[in-house]
Formats: sequence, structure tokens, C-alpha cells
Amino acid sequence: MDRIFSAPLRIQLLISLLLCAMSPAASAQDPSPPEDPSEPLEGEDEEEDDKEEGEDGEEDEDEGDEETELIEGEEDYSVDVIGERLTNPGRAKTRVERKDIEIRLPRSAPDALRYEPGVYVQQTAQSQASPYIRGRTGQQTVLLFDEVRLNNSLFRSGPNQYFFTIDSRTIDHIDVMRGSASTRYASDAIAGVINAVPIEPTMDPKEDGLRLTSRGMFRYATADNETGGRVQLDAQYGPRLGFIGGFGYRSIGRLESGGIVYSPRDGSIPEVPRFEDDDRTQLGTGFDEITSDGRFVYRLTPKQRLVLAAYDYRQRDAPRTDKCPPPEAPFNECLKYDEQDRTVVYARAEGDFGEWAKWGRLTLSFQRQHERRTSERPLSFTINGGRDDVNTFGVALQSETRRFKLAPSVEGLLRYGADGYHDRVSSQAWLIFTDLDITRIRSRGQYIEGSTYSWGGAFSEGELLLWEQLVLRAGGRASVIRAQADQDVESGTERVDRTWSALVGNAGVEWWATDWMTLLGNVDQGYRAPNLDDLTSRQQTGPGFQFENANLEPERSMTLESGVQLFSRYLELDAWVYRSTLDQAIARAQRRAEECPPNTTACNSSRSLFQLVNLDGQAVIWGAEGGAKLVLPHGFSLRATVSYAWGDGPNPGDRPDDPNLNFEERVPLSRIPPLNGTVEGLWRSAYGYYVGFGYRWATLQDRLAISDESDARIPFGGTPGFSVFDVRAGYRYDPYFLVSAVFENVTDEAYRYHGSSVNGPARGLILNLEVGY
Amino acid sequence: MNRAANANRRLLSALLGLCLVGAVACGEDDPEATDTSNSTSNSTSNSTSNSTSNGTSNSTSNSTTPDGLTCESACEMLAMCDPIGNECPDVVASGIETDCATECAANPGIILGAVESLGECAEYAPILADRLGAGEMCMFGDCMPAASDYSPGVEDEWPECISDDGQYNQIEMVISSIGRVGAFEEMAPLLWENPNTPTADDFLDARELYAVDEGLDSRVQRREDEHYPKVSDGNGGTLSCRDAGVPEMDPKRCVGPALILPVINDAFQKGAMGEDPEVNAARLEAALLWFFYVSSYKEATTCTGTKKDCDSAWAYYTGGEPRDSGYGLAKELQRSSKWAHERVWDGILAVRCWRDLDSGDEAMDLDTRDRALSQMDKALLYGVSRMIEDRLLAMSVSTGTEREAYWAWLQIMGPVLDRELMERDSAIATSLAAFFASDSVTDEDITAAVQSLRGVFTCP
Repeated sequence: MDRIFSAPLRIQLLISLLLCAMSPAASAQDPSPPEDPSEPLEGEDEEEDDKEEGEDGEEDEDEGDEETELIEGEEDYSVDVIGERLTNPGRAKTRVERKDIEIRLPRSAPDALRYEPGVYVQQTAQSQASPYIRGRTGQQTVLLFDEVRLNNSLFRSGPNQYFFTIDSRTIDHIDVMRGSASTRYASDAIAGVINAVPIEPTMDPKEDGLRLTSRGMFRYATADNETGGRVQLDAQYGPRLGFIGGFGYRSIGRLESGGIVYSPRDGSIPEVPRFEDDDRTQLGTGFDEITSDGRFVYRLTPKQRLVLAAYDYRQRDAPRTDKCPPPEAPFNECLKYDEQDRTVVYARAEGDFGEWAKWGRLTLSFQRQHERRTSERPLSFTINGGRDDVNTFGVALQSETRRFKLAPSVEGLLRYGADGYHDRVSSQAWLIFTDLDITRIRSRGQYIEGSTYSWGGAFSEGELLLWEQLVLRAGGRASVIRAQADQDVESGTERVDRTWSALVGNAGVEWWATDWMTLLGNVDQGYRAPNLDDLTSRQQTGPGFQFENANLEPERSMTLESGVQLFSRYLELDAWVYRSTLDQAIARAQRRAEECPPNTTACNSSRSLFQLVNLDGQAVIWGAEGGAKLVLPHGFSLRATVSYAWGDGPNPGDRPDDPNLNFEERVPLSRIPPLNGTVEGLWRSAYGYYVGFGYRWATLQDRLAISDESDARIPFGGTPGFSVFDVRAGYRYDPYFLVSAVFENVTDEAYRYHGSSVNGPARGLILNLEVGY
Repeated sequence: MNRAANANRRLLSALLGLCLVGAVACGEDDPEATDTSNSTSNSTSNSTSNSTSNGTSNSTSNSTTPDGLTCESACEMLAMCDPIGNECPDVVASGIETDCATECAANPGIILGAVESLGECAEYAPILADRLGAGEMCMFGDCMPAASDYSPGVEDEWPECISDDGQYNQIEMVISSIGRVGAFEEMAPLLWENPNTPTADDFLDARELYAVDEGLDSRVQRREDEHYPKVSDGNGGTLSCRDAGVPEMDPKRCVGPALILPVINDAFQKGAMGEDPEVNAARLEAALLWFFYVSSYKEATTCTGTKKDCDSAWAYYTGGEPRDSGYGLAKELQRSSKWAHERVWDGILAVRCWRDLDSGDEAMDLDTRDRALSQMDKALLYGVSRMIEDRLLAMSVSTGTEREAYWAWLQIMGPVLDRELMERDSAIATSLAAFFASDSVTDEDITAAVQSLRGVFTCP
């Protein structure tokens, strides 16, 4: 399929965006630039505020004072911070701010997480990326957009691309919470939660007319010839109604890498990815992207507001790199996501609704995830196609009471909520003979047409503050989940009608030991009920063909973690150790051809066959991670992170009959990231200039699961280590102008994140320009 | 081609060929044999007409060769071998004697296989030679495995290894090639074993089986023939057939995309449009059998660096079935030559034995590898030659669409032997190449072709 934008059209669009952004008519006001350039700029003021809040946005001592004020009923509960109220106090977490994104210039929302401790971003395609948190990803992490769940019942067991379907240009910040968290976030919160929070309209309570401001963003990258941009309108009408919205697009070409990443064991060249003749430019990369969004905010009262928002993401012609072409296949065979769309629409009421809902939020949401794939073999005139849609209707209530004084030096509050989501699935598959122009519809798609998946639950968490230095927390959740799918006789698909219920809990302690040190400990349970992907899907995955298991049971996790946080004027440090256990873990077990479902030739013909099973025993992941930030005089700062995870579990294979054959009782868990870390340095002038660097490194990962051994994304013997150095520079003249650049991969390293199909970008330049009024 | 409907006719033609052409094969010094050869076409046609005119609806059980040999009598002779049991293990192991009549009726190859097996029973060979026609026994009477060949359970020059139990011991639990051979078997009743004329939908159904992810199509597209050197880039390096333009540079090496795939695409396309269904079904069968032959050798070769490829070598030949069974190429080959099938099995076990003895990630003992490969390939080539003979003889007693289908099959499979023929006898190779490239052939041409093949492929 042709790219949706031709080159001339792309240029026209760029020019249009530029004109639109620079149009004086776009602004009803004429803000004057600061008369004195030496005056601190608006963004810098914000930055100072950010520093006071702490890097990861946690409540600090000042916030504690604010809470005290709340008790006294003197608070001014500004609606502008309503979105910030949802916190996960006492947990291991970090935040990626908008200003970080503007400096790092990530290629996607997941790419923005590469500098977060405990997070490792795998890429099966240039148009896909899946963040691993503490060694788990996909179904075992919860992805949120403004607290609306992106997770649905079609999320795959391995890495998935769905966090990529968030336009990073609409993100204000991304919160990453590590560790099990099903009490708050329900099913799937085995290893962590990622919440992307969008930008808000600028709201001036004193505005009494129409205010319009616009912004244009333009971007170019050399490694993949990326060109794109966004136009954005920020408007306010009167003191109550605000709007922010925009349109964006990107056209991205094939990604040039630093070269081939060789097998660490024998130096062989991996089958994935395949390259053009230059041995640098990767086949199966490149895509187009269109985004649009709109967000209305209406202030009911100074302490309450309504939000109506819609975000639409459309990706076109995005090849899956490890299947475009597949290993050993002809050069022109390709699996491509012709369409990958996500639409999220939600309405929300939030604010202060009284002392039992001092902060409350009710959200009604609708989400549509759409995929259309084609696997084309031009040499034999065939196209295998598939389409999967899932519509998700959701409702979520979250609330927090005011802080009550229970006894002298004892205060408490309660967080509680209820939520429910309902998925309805449509799925179809077909085969086209292009030489005959004949299409044959298959009896079932990757999933079963008309499948449904519903879940609901309620949670409550209590918090006690003792003697103003010890915080105790505990909570629990009850959930019910139901999965239904019809039988398909022709393909031998069993009917699914399963219901599970789950009870989980958590507890934590936080001791503000000194003014500069906090010690934390948590125990939190996670669970994940099998979803429709586990129960009904048949698909070619990276390691091989995977077929369904309608008899799976939920997996359950428990995270024990302990952390220390240090705060001083110059140093912030956050370090954690953890141990997560996973019972009845759902994992891929190798299968024989005779175990394939009937009438599934694709199963019989696949090199490796897998079925998801509950492991009989306990899987364990333990590790350590942390970050430190050094704030130095004269605008210098330095930040470093390091992460390590180690995981193993029961061998999912059957013990061979022959006792002489080697059989390991426990084997590594799949795609656990290697020891890795980052270093960032930055110097910012008072005049808006900045210069910095980013450095990422990882060691060899050669602890491979059985399924990893057959995964073409992993070089023979493991993924080699790497170190990549970027230089960053830019100039900000708020709110009118921002130019930022990254000279990436200075040493032109050939590198790959473990489990990825795509090698990292070659040495090149990323330029970002923003202009606005 | 409708195999079920044609089974009887093929039995008859095989028996005819066995007696008539076989006599020629060892008759160079025998004027009488030469004379017999000259009467081949007459005998063939007579036989056909006799069978028809006599109204033998069950021609299987009552079919006779001109010298009066029946299937049952062949079985009786085979039973004679039974008392010597261990000395004639193939016959005993094959179970032929237990239900011989039924087997004979269903499969003309059983006769050939039985006779060939008797080649091991040297003392009985003269007796059977008299009864069955001298040709077969001339061919196999002295045909014993080479001293360097691997034979499971027999004293040979090979050290003890995993194959000595006579079974194929898998390296990997999952062998995806089995599924591809399974798809071939699912296609058969739709196309070349369809008792009726295949419809357009039959072709589409078959193509759907062919085109599944990781299925036959995916492997045909990438298949290289390891008999030929890798494609040179002209600078001392090599090129991969999967890259753009390379298949056209060296079609013989890039046999899958350059030679086999176009046949398959064309046959599917024409079949789905209702054009010559029987012919295109036969072309598909032939093209896929060619693919299985090339694949079996290819996988055995690349087993040098990838151990599990030995499994695929076995699977592409047998379809994952045991020695006394078989799908795909093994099934077809057995129909034509049980003896060749046994020898292919031994060859595959030789490959597995080599990889057991040389079990590192990368094989080092290339001499042993080459011995095993040679043994396997020699047997495969012999088997393919017998399949071709079988079809040639069947073609000679067929007419109309059926004959066209046989010829379509032969025009694809015949040239498969070209490389080996060229090495062994370039004159015959040239002659046969011209034969298989002909638009039409006479019975005399067929006889000559069979003679040529038998003259070259004398021993598996």
C-alpha cells in the first residue's frame, strides 16, 4: 500500500502547519515579550516550582503542610491541580515531565521512558514499542491515558505496541509506578502502571472574553527521515470554559541504524532485522501517523470541573520489522499494520464534592482499538489479512476523603473507588489471491467475532499519619471478571464462558526518618485474569505460533519492596530493592504439532509451537533500581539511573521420559532486561539556552527463556550490551519559541534493546521547532 | 490425475514395464532380450486392449503380465522368502506377506518393492527372475549397499550411533516440516487424488492450504538447491536467493523461487480458472514432490550448522511417519519402489547417525557427512527415477486427459534428474532433456526414456 502522504503533500502540510501556527489571526491577544530578557522566563519559574516538588512529583514536606492546612479547612482547592491529586504515595515511581520530553526528543511515548529506572523499552517494530517494568510488559503492566485504561482484553502476552498509540506531543507528563498494584489498578497490574497525562488548556480565572493562542511544532530526524508536526489551539471563553486541541502528523522513513548487531555467541548475523545493501538501513521500518485531539474543560465551581476529551491516533502502513520480511523469507514478503487506530473519548467530573469526597473523579469512557494487518507474499500472489476491533466502555469512580484527625498526632484518610469495563470484540481474517482477485473469508479471525469481556471491582485504601513522621497504608479490592466467546466448530475453537473473582490487598509503611531521608516498605498484590487473547487467540508471535488455552486461570503476584529516598538541596536519591513472586504465572509452553487445534495448518507448519499455560510453581523476579539527581550551581544538573532484574520460573515444558536428557527445573523468564542504566547531564542558562547529554548503557543479556531461544528478535546467544551517547542543545523563549536538537548516537553504535527487532538509530540529528503565541 | 481411478491401470502398466523394460535393462548381451524390447510397445498395447476387451472390471486381482504373472503369484513368490526370515529382513519387516493380495491390488509399487527386496535374497533371485522377468532381478540381484553405507542394525563401517535402532530419533520436539507435508496430503484428495475432476473451488481450497503462514508456500519461496554452489556476487562473496534479482541470476541454485514457484503459481491460477484441472493438479503434485526432494537434501546439508535441520530432512521425506508408512514423497516413492524407500530411510538414518557422532553446534566431521549425504541422495535419486518410470509406463497405457496429466507431471519431475544424469552420462542427459521438453511423445519414446533411466539409475 502506498504511503498516505506523498512527498509533495508532506511539504504542503508542513507549510500549512507553519502558516497556521504563525498566523496572527490565531491569537486574539497580543502578548508582549518580556521587556527584560534577564527576567526569569515563565518556564523557569515553573521549573523552580518543580524542583521544590521533587523530581518525581511526590508529595514532599510542603505538601504535608498543605495537608495540615486542609484539615484546618483553609485550603484553596484550585481546580488547576485536580489532575495532580491522583498519586500513589509511598510507592516506587518516577515522572517524565513535558520539559524532559522537549529536551530528549523521544520518537514516541514509550521512547520517552528510556531514562526511567526500572523501565526498559522493547521495540518489535519502529512503529511499536513496549515498556518493560521490572522485567514484565504487555498484559502484565497497566497502561493508562489520563487514568483511562488502555489495557483491553486483546492485549497480547508479549510486548505490545499500544502505548505507542499515544501522541507524545499531547502529553504533559508520564507517571511510572513500579511493582504490583492491583488494589488500585485492578487486573494486569502485576509489574507496574504507566499513566500518560495530557496537556491541559491554559485557564485564567480572570479571563472574561475569548482568548486564542496557537502553537506549531515541527520536527525532523535524519536517521529515519522523519518529518512531521502538530498545530495546536489553546482557547478560553470566559472564566469557565477552556479548550485545547490539535492535529498532528508524521511521516517516517526507513530507520538507519549503526549497523548489524552480531550474535554474542558466534558472531553470526541475526535474521532480524534485514537491511538494505548498506547494511545499515533496516527493512520493515517506516510508517505514517495522523493524530487529532480536543479537550474541553468547564469549571462548574472553583473546586469542580467537567472534562470532555477525545484523542484519536491513526497509524498507517507500519511494517512489523521481524516479519517484514520474516526470517529467511524473500525480501518482499511483509507483515504490515495497514491501520492501527486508537480513539479514546471520555467525560469526567472531578473536584471537591464534600468531606467524603474531598477529591473525587467520575469518568465515563469509550475506547476503540482498531487493527488491520496484511501479510503479503508478492511472489505467490497472496495476502493474508486480518482485522481486529475492540470497543471498550468504561466507568471509573475514584475518591479521597478529607484528612480526619482521629486522635492527637493521628490523622487518617480513605481512598476508595469502583470501576468497570466492558469489551466487545470484532475479528475477521481473510486470504486474497491477488492474481485472481478472489478473497476468501476464514471461519475465524485472530479472535472470535462477538467475544465479550467484562470486569468490575471496588477498592478502598486507608492511610494513617502518626506523629507526623510515620505513614501506614493498607487497602483491598474485590473484582469480578467474565469472559465469553462463541465456539467455532470449523477451527476447533472451544466456547469460552468463564468467570473469576479476585481479592487482593496491599500495605505499606513510610517513615520520614529525618528531614532528608524517608524509608519505605510495601507489600502489594497483583493479579491478572486471562483475557481474550489468552483464551481465544491464534497468532504468529515472535517465538512461534501460539494457540489458545480456554482453561487458563488468573495469575497472581506479590511484590515486596523496600526503598530509601534522600532529599537535600543538591541531591535527590531514590533507591529500591524488590522481590516479586508470581503464582500460576501464565507462560508459553512448547507444544507438539499433534497438539495443534484442528484445521489449523499454520500451527502444524510453524517451527515453534506454544500454548499459554499456568506454570505449576512460583516464578520470581527480584531486582534493584534507583536514580539520583545532583543539582549543581550555575544551572548544572546531573541525573543517573541504574536497574537490574533477575527472573526465573518453573520450566513450562514437560519433563522428558528419558532421564538422561537434560531438563532444568527452573528456567529464566522471557526477555528479562539486562543490567542497564542512564546518565544525563544538563546546563541551563537563565537566558533560555541549554546544553546537555544523555547516555544509555546495557550489558549483555544471555539468560534466555526457552521461547527466547527461538525468538528471531534475539540474536543467537543473547543480546549484546551497548552504550549510546547523545548530545542535546536548545533554546527556549517562552512562550513564543523553542528550538531543540539532539545529536543522537554520537559514536554511531550498532545497538539493540533486548528483545527488539529494531536496532537503534544511527548517528544523526533530531530537530524540533516550536513557535506559538 | 485421479489416482484412485488409475490405480489399476498403473498396476498393469507397472507390471508390463517390469517385465518388458526390465528385460531390456540387462539384455544388452542377450539378443532375445533385445527382441523383447522391440516388442514392448506391441505388448503394452496388447495388454491394454486385452484387459479392456476381456471386460476385466477388476483388473487388479486378475491383471496379468504377458508371461502370466499375477499379483497373487508375485506374492506367493515373496512368501517363499519368508522362511529365510532374518536373511530377508526387508520383506519380513514390510509385512508384505501378511496381506499381500490386498497390498498388491492397491499399489503396484508393492510388487516392485518386493522384487527389489528380494535382491537381498540372492539365492532366490534366479527363481523369481524366471517368473517375474529377468530385468528386475538383473538390476537388483547384484545391487547391495555399498560397504561405506550406513545400514541400521547391520555390521557396517559405521560406529554405534543413535540410528542403530532403525528409528529416526528427533532432535527437536517440534518439526514444522511435518505440517507442510501434511498440507500436501490434505491437498491430494482435492486435486491429484480427487476421484472427480477438480473444481475451481478445489484449487482455491488447496491453495489456501498451500498459502498458510509458515506453510508450503513460505518454504518454496526460499528453497535453495544445495547440489549447486551458492550464488556468487562476482567479488568472492555469495548472494542469497531471497534477495531481489538473485533467483534470476542462478535459477538452479534458487530452485524454489526461480523454478518451482512459477509452476505452482501458474497451476493454481489456471486450475482456479477451470483450465485443464487434471493437468494442473498433476503439475502441482509434481512441483511439490520436487520441492520435497530438494528440501530433504537441503536440510540434510544445512544440518551441518543447524542440528535441527536433520529433523527436517527426515520430515520432508517421510512426513514424520515411521519407516513402514510415509506421507508426501515417501508415500509416492514407496508406490514405485519399496526398495528405494528402504534405502532412502537408511540414508536419512545415516545423516542422523553422522550428526549424533558429530554432535557439536557446528559439525566438524565433513567426510562422514558427505558419505551420509551421498548415500541418502543416491537413494532419493534412484527413487525419483523409479517414480518417473512408473509414470512413464502409466502414461503409455493411458489416453486423453489422463495422458496429458501424466505428461504434465513428467515434464516437471523428469528434469529433476538432469543434474545427476549430466554427471553420470551426458549423452543420456541430453537425450532425456530433449524428451521431457517435447510437446508430445510416442510409446517408443517412452520405452527409450525408461531404458535410459534404468541404464543410469541402476542401484539405490
